[in-house]
Amino acid sequence: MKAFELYDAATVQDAVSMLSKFGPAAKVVAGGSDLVAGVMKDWIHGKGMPYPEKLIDVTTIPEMVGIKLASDSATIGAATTLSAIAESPQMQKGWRVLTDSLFSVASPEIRNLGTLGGNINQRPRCWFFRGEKFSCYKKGGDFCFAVTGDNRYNAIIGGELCYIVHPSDAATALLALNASATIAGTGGTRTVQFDNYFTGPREDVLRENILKPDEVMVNVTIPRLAPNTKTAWTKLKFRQVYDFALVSVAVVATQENGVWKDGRVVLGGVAPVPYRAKVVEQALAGKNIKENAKAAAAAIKTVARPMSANAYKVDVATALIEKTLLDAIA
Amino acid sequence: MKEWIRLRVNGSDHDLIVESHWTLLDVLRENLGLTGTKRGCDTGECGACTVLVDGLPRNACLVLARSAQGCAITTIEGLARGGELHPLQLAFQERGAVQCGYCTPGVILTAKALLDHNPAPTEDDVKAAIAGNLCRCTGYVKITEAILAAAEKMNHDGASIVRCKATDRASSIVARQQVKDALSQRRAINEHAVVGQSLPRLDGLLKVTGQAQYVGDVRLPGMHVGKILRSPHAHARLVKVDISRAEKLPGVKAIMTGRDVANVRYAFVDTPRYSADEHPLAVDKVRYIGDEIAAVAAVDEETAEEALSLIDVEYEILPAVFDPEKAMQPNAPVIHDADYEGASVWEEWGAQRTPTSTARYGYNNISGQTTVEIGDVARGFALADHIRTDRFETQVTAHGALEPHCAVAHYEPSGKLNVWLSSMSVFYKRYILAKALGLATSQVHVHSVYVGGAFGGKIDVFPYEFCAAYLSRQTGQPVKIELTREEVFVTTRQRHPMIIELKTGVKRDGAIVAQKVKLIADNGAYRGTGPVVIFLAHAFNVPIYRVPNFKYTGYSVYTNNPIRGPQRAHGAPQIRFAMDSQLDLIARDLGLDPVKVMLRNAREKGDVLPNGDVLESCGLKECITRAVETSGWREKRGRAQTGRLRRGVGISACSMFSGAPFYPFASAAAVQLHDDGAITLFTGTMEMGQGAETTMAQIAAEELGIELADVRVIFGDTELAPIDLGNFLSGGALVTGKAVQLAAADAKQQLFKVVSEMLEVPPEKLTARGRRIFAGDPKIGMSFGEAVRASILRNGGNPVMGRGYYKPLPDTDQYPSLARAKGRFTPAYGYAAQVAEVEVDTLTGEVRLVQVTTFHDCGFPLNPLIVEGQIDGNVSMGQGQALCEDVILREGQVFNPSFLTYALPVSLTQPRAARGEVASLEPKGPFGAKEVGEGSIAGMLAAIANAVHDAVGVRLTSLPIAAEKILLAQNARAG
Repeated sequence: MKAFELYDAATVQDAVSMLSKFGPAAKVVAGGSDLVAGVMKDWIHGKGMPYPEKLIDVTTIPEMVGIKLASDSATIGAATTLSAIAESPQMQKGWRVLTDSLFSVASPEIRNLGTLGGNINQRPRCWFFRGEKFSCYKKGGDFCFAVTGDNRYNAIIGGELCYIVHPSDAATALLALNASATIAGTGGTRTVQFDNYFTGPREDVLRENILKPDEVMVNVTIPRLAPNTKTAWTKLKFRQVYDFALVSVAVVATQENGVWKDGRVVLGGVAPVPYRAKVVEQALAGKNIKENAKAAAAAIKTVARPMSANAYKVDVATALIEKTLLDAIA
Repeated sequence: MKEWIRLRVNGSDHDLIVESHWTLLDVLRENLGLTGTKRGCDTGECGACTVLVDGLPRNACLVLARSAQGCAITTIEGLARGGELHPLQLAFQERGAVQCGYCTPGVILTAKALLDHNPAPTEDDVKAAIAGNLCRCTGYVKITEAILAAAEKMNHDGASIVRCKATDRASSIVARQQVKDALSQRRAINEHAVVGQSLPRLDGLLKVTGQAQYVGDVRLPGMHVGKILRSPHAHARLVKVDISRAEKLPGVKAIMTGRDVANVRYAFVDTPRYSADEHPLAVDKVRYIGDEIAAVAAVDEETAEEALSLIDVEYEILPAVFDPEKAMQPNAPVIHDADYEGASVWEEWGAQRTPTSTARYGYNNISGQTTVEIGDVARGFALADHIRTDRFETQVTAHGALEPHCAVAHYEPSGKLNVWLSSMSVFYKRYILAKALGLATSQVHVHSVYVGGAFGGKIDVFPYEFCAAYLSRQTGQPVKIELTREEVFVTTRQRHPMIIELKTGVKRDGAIVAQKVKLIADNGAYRGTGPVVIFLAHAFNVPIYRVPNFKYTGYSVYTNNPIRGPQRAHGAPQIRFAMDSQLDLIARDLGLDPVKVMLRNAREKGDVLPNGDVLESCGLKECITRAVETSGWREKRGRAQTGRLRRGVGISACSMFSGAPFYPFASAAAVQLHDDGAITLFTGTMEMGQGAETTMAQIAAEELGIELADVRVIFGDTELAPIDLGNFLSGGALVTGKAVQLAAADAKQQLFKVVSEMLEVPPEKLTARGRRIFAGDPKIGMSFGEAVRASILRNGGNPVMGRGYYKPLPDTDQYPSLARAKGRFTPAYGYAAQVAEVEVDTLTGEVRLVQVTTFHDCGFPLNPLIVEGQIDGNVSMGQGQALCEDVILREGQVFNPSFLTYALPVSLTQPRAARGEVASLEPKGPFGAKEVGEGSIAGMLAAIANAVHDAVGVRLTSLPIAAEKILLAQNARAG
């Protein structure tokens, strides 16, 4: 690994001012399983992705660590470890879809190190992006190698220019839970719904979200579920540990006598952003979930645009949506 | 930037100067010398470096050292306090949860964290907790058992530390108790006291405490770090390799390029027909992405890496070919276009200066061909009632040993070379390295180290080993080259992917009357073991079924893919997948039970194979019938099911050599008897997790009538131990084991001579047992130690030493013909039959391996605990190859060279394992023992494919059996 400088931030303000002082060669590190091991040890860099020279550790900021419960929500510090959240009895009780998604991340060791903010803001896993010799759009290059190359794991929905899939399990669950993020920057603090947090390649191919270079994600707030709301999480991968999602599904369904009243169906591993499958939600609206799960799941096919080698993911997504809907109401 | 930090490790504070980018793993190993924390991948994807940070397991390779300040860090060295072992350490050692030992420190610490907060975990809790700790050897079965046993013991004792000293004494107490237990059962079970007993391994204590030394742990004063520049192109001519900028970089000590070693040529296969085609560094062309171009020795890793980036290479890109069938076509780019001339290392063993058959193999990229014809195939097919033709394809798999390949080399001023290598045969490596470096064989000393798993991947002599030695000679300093995990995946030789076209004719009752096989193995950019694997695919298959009319044509083919080499059961998994998948299909066609078809064709004891090998022991039929009975086959096969989750069972069988004629063609062993009644056993075998150190000691102890705890073993060292065949082709138990038995018997005869004079009884009336030598009544005689002392006194002070030699095939030091499969192959074949039960999720296509029943004929289990461990490892590796492992290549580029993206099985997917032994007592083997370490991976693939077919009616003829393939096949069937 190439040498870099490491700074501990004491407060959010401290982190923000260091980011603004050091400029684009500085990066926030909040665990490091992706940034240090996945990006820097593998020398993943390019014109649009300078090799970080300075890392600012935010896990040393007390206000960014821990879970605060309120009557209508939970607020989780972005530097809270995934295992601390996943193992919290209150979180398991109130937001099972999130804790299940976090238990499906990587390995127990990595969950003890990785943080919520780190998971949400990690870089994609496309093997061209992660391959040192591929200068792709996302690294500031001028090509998407997935278009002509082996794209078995790439996007089936919403790809344009770049065909990565968003890697975060937490993000998929949080979008289904209608969560929001608090972001601090030089200009102050702002709150952003996850609906508006993730950005596709067309907006800025060098990034996957709205976080600016001098900004830090401080915490995430999740509203409590409405009464009669059922949830479920499914993640298909080769093994039950380590792997990123081939396809994942988070379902949050508010129902009455088995009929879909409101809710969200969100897919991971299929699009450059956590993908809210509104076509599926619409197909369920006002209908009996159990009876219509299969047909509603199939609606995903109407929005899918698979590439040369990943049409199978449409079948997988269809199957998993059905399974997750059935699991939620079971 | 450099800073002072204070780390609290194992209860002590350490003040250190570190760079910001140093990880906790770097600092623990390099600065604090705590090498029990193992480097497996360096990217948080294997768990070998797991340490406890404030009581929680974390990957030390992911934690920046500076960020670990203020935390309490526990490493494996901190677990045994004051010499008292943690119950987990004892349980791992006693229950066979340790094999190569490389994952052991990490998994023990992870387990400790679990038990600290959950003292009574369930089996599922344990599997979930250790899910991030990869283990390639054990299949997690015995690890899970050991953790549960430790938890039980801790709860029972009410203390976290049991009173037991962490010295050899501990193992001897444990071993003695077990010997005692075993002794009481002995009469009922067998006539042996030490062999045949599940004794804890001798190296267990070193491994559970983190003290076992692997190559990467070797530290020599003034040691430089070596790195290798590799080709980014699959096929290119080297126009220019300019090292002038790199040479000027401060800290660079030496640089070598292909031009420096252009006259050095070697290869695994180096015969008149197949001339050696490898140079340590590319001379004129690079032939795959990863091909070695230059090597640098520098003061540290960062400098060496920077130097590589300063080497200017100009390439002329050449057309490349990646598909073996395309590579065989006349117009394909030719990958090896020049004749190889000049000395090659095997010359004195029959290889010639100039290849005799370049013309035959110079075109179409065919690197080897094996042709076998038995009977009359056309006539055989004419007799058949039913004929099937199928095509099977197998994928590229990786060995996945947790220890990355590493070499340390140190030239002494005298010109003697010391090396520490990740190897499977120190004598083979010594031979090739000495010749390649122009040294006398005995000038190379390969030192003994433990090997962190090998599975075939550490047999070959690799360029990094040669380069470490060469750079050490250039610099006069020790040089270490440790491969990155990515380099291990790409450049240390993968399993050959094969295309197998199979045409089989059977009678109505399933009797095979004719079979025609066309097999194509892609050996990548260099020949590697291409001609060997196409020979072995035949040789490992022919001992299973009787096929009266048989035609086999195997081709190994050059492509611009990474090089392929030996991998556990080398060639057997591929062909057994094809054969038993097709036999299952044939049984379906004919409406027969596949078990009946297998038994109808299975070979038996006494059969003579076409090459002349005689099956003096053969438990194949018994393995099949017992696996069927134990697995519940009859109730489970062909169940009518309608639910989402459907189960099925499948069966396959396999067979493996027990050693083969290969350099040095024989194994030797020696024992020295000490006057305190202990002995030292000297053997050239390697301990790479398979338990050779322990089983060899058991053989010696049994023969001499002493106990396992009385034996010290010197192994795997070319100066301290006599020559040995090495640990591939599964000759350890039979060949080395026999040499050890003969060495012990030799010493015993010397003692008996003395004792017989003293007791005035003829030597043939004497017995050695229970540490005594006696005639009839154990009371009439003397202790083993007394006998040794008496011998020394009566023989003018001469010590008692025994020598033994054994050759797998005493009549030959010729290889069998690879091209014609003629000549003897092996003294004995091990057998196994496996029944797999799977559960398929019809909604997602996911396959869960529920249970695997393996019955294995290893002749006689020298140590049942170790034998079970070998079977568990094979089952797990077979599970991976069948269901999830796949090296993904596109135009020669490996897309998943990491443990994250290359999916080894994990604890959570571990199936229930039922295993049993069929003791066929091989007459040539020590106490009847033969192969167990490799064969039973090969039955897993067809067993699983057949089980999936049984469950959901979908037949997959290509591996791996991934969820999406099943989903697509189901959807296609449903229309």
